[in-house]
Amino acid sequence: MKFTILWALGGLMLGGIIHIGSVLWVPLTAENDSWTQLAGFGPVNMLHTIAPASDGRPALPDTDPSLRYAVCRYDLTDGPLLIIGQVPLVYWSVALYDRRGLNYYALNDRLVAGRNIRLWVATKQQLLAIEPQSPETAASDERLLIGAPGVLGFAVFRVLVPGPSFEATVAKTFEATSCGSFDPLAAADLRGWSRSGSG
Amino acid sequence: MRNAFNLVLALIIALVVGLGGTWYALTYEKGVETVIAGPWRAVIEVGTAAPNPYARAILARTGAIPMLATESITFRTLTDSRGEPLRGACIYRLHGGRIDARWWTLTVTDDQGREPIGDPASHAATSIGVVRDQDDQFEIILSPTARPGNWLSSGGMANVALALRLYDTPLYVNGSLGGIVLPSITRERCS
Repeated sequence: MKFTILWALGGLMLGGIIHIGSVLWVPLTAENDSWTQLAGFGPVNMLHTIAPASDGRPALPDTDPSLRYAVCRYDLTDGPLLIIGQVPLVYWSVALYDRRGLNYYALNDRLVAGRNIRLWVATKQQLLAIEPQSPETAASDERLLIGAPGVLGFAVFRVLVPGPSFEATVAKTFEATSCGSFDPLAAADLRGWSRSGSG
Repeated sequence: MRNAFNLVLALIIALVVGLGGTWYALTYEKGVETVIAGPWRAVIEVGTAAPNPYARAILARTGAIPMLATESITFRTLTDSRGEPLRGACIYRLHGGRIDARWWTLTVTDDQGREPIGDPASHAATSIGVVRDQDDQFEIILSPTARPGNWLSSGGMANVALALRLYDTPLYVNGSLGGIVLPSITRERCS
């Protein structure tokens, strides 16, 4: 009997180890994580607007029906990502996530001075190539450099729809938003950037 | 023989405790930082800069893309203020006041997260559209059939889930989440 209790205690301890191991293991095997779900909307380094739920089943889990979403998965292998966006006069946000769906950066309309943003997402090495050329922010355009924790990740844009009449605002906002891979040294945006710095 | 029995017993205990514990924690969102306000519950952990392994596993399994808690916090409930499950056949009165957020939305889904079919305006309210009295208080009726005033539809649903999402809220940053007061949910009657 005493032996059985000891075996049972051993089983409990082993159970604890299995528990910890399996919790850590879940993100590595999840077939339904956010990255995988977003892959269904199209290729990387492109903006995809997400249609609101029509059959009751939202296209993404945990989304707010009062918001409209656009997503852009990125792959920084061939160069940094440049997000060009127009900020509407309603609540707007862009959030950056890593491959595992962890939100590492967020910006909303209140933190943007102008109505246009240029947001570079780059790896640590790419940042070093960009930074020496980057002067201060231009008055009308918010230009930001964000260091990404990994090569893969995604951006999520959110715009509030306070009423049906705002759908047009959302459509215009997303039309004016682009999200693509850029070679920073060849990019006209950066040449203009260094010119505005020197002049 | 005796040892073989003990070994099998130990392995069964290990698997049940280990995997069962993981299933339980992830399904019921245990092991993560939460905030409870009346019937409302928010999992804050998934919106922190460095979520713990439980939160990471929950995110991986649901595929949700939560915003940082410094930006937005989602409170959910499946029950009224007395702890009774929210039922689509019943009429509920939600009563609330000012919430420390730039704006908020209140959304009805069934308990599987499905939005009701029909006019989107009937199952989503926002702080911008809600009509308030002179003391900044508001009442929203949740019922299966249309009602005058602020109204949310629970038509066609057996069980109802509510989500209250606060946006651009300082509550997490200034540490006052613990004392937050959110709308009460009172059952009026059931048909």
